Amino acid sequence: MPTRLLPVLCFSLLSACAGLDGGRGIPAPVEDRTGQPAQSLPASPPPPASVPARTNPARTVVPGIDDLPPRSVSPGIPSPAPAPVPVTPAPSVPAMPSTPSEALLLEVDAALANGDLERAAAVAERAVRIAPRDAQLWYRLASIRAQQGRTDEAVGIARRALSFAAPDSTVAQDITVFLRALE
Amino acid sequence: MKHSNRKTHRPPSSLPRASRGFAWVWTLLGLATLGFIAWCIKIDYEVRRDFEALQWELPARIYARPLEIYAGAHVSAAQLTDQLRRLGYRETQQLRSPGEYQTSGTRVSLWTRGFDFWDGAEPSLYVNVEFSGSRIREMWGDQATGMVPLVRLEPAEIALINPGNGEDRVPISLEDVPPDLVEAIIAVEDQRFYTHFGVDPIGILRALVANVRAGGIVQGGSTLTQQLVKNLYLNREQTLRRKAEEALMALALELHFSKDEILTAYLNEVFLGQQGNRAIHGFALAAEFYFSRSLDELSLDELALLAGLPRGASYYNPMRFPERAVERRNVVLARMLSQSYISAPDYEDARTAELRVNARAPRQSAGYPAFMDLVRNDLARDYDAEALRTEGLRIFTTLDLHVQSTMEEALEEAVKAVERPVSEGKLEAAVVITDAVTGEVRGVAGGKQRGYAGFNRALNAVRPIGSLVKPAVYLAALESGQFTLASVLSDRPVTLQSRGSPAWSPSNYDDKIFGDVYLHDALERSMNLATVDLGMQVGLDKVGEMLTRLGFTREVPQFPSVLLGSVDMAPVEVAQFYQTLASNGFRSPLRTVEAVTTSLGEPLERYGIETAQVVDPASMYLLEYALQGVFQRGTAQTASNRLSDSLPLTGKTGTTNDLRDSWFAGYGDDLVGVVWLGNDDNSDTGLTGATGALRVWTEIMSRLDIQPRLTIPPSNVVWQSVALGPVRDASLRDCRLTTSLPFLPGRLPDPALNCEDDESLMERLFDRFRDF
Repeated sequence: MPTRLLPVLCFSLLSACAGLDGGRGIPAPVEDRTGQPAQSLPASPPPPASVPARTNPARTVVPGIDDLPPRSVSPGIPSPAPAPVPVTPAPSVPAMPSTPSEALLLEVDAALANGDLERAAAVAERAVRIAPRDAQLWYRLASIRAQQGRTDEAVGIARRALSFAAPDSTVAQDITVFLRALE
Repeated sequence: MKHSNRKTHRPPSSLPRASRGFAWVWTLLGLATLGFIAWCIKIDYEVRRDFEALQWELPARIYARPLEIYAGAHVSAAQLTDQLRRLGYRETQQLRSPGEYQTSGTRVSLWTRGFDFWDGAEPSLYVNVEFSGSRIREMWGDQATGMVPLVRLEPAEIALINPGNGEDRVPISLEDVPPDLVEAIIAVEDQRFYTHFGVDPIGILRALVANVRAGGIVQGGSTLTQQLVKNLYLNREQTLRRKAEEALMALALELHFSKDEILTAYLNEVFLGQQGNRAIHGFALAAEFYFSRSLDELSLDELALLAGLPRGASYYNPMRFPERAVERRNVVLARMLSQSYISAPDYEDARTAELRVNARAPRQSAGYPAFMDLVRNDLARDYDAEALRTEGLRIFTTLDLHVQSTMEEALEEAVKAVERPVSEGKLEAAVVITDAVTGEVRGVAGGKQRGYAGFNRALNAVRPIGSLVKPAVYLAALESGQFTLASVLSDRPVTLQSRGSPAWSPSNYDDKIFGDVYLHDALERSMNLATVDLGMQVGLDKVGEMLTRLGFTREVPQFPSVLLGSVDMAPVEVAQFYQTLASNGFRSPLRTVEAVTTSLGEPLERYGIETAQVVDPASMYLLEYALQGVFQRGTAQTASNRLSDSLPLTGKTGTTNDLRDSWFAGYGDDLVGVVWLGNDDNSDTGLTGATGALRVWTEIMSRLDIQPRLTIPPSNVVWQSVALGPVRDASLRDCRLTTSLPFLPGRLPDPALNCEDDESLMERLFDRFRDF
């Protein structure tokens, strides 16, 4: 180490003599130095190949925020009976969910599949904020809380779900069963 | 002793004189070398230790709620473009990159930047949004993405909690830095950066020659590594020893760390601007600071401008000295051209590009002080002040910038407009607006002035709430099962004697006496005497208990005067109380913080929606009927014209003794709003709840386009006709004019009033005819 550092003294002195680089505040004169570009730098991702197409795709009128039943059944939890889903996906975009709730419920499922319950709850809450009177979404959140073992919260949220469900609807019955199992 | 000492110091005479001198020099030189080596080892050790553990103190960043856009969302085109501008999006004729938008007619097209939220990454997306009035009609992307169900914009940064040294930066990794910027910096600061070993002898010689020629210091020979060392370790003292130390440290850095590591540290460390106490460090933050855009959105000329700043961030400050800044930028560009980093046409374009920096620095922490007080309170439960100042936490709050700024825009004028007799500017205000479903705080004002940072009245003006308390009294009554909306109350003078306090003789506002009145009417028109009659029958303990269930956390005094609101609350406490009413008897704690992540977006804490049922839905529905009646028939009737598009709405006026406090708390399906008006010296305002706070509330809520209450009656609620005039004796029943009210089964109206059972439609019609 010391031997490797020996040349340092000379350089330090040299550099010191080169000007006590007050640096900031002093404009440097333009220099016409030619030099080779330094070694190549990490490339950034290429710019988007094209400006997004301006043509309108086949448009479908977006339905309102639907009541959608929970998509996956969580083990160990009274499972909401899957009601027949009146979803008609837009013909031109087969794989794309068409409502915010649908899109977010897919994300909830993905998070649950990864075992990430809190993320699932976060996404379900995002859905609830967008469609705050959707009994299914509240119910979904309640069942995630129950899965987390947060029973008190699950009960409160399930009761809230029930308050938004049409009386005698399937979802109301499901929530009632769910609440009975929790309490 | 002295003598012998001197003796030992004398060189032994047997050695030749020259040889003796030589040895002496050798010893000294040896010692110096040893010392120097020790110094080198020490510096080497320190540099390695410090640089490996290099961690900047990062301020916590506070974000507003991100705007969600989707078909059906209650968002107008103006609201969207306003938000985009706030986020630093640039309006263009053709979208070329993220952070741009374009408007045409009822359509806004934008290219979002994407953001790492607590619950996952939001991708950067191109999307067209078609509006219809104040709502989004539909939304689609390009041919590849097709229809887009939902897009979340980046959240706007609303405040920083700064570290003690005032340094602010957004750390960035090298792969996220545009190559143009790196090349510009290398071209202008250190062209042999990738080949030298920490110090650059050629550069130093060149600088030396230039300096000698100029007869002064015109050039520095410092490498980027040296500059980094100087910023990281050394003060600004310019001594020879310092310069040597700096060079040594630079060599040590280069020995142990790669060029990329050193360059990354430099890009993040370098000082690039100042805003008050806040020092702007690093290029990522500088891009936001000067251009309100992210580094990867900047063009060549803008990157060159930033690359010129390390030489003198205040001297070349583009906001203050645009000419100097452009001159410096062009120096950078010229060097890039001469070192073949850019082509001549690119150079020409960039050199002539117009300077487009922010006119002034984007508004920082002074922005939302009243809301930030609530955030600090919420965060204090889980984070100490030190963590907030240094760990670069990202804090996602519930603040809705549209709600907050609309409220602030309306508030000062609205307060001025109601101040009586003449506007002295003395009347003060506090406002709390929350989400009616989740209890998330959407906007707060601690005073009438925009961005007011003094005494936070929303949090700290603890005042008697007057008639705002009445819903708790009536709810306790309805829930007890002994009362219905058609119960007859006595609105007549009384004197109440309670232990340990003087006799109390309440009166109505304007000293009117209404006699026998329906329960719902007494609440709608805020009758004091009837409320005292009801409250004393229900029991003060039940009323106190109801307030607690609705979310009031302090003790409720047990005096009859509590029935008329001699209980003190801050506006946020009132908001909690009315939040529970708005949520139909579900209590959700008011929240300002939704989630916290590390500076890299890794999830830490999350504060989810909590809700607990505290009142049965049927009793809540009956109360809701009467509170909607406040707008339809009662004390808030004056507001119904202005709010006609939003009706039905629910609310209650409140006025305190000697008109000291003017309150209004009300809610629609989406928002709860609480407005308090009063003087800081607690003097007479000349305002009732209806002439003061209600008008301010109306101004704010109509601008926010508050949504009507469309509460669905619980299935067990039944509607029954009762005589319009309340009587206590069945023989006086008059069913010619009736009104239909909701009831609970088993708690039907008193037979003296019930016009449902024995009164068929025909008979009622017949009654009418008989009347003529």
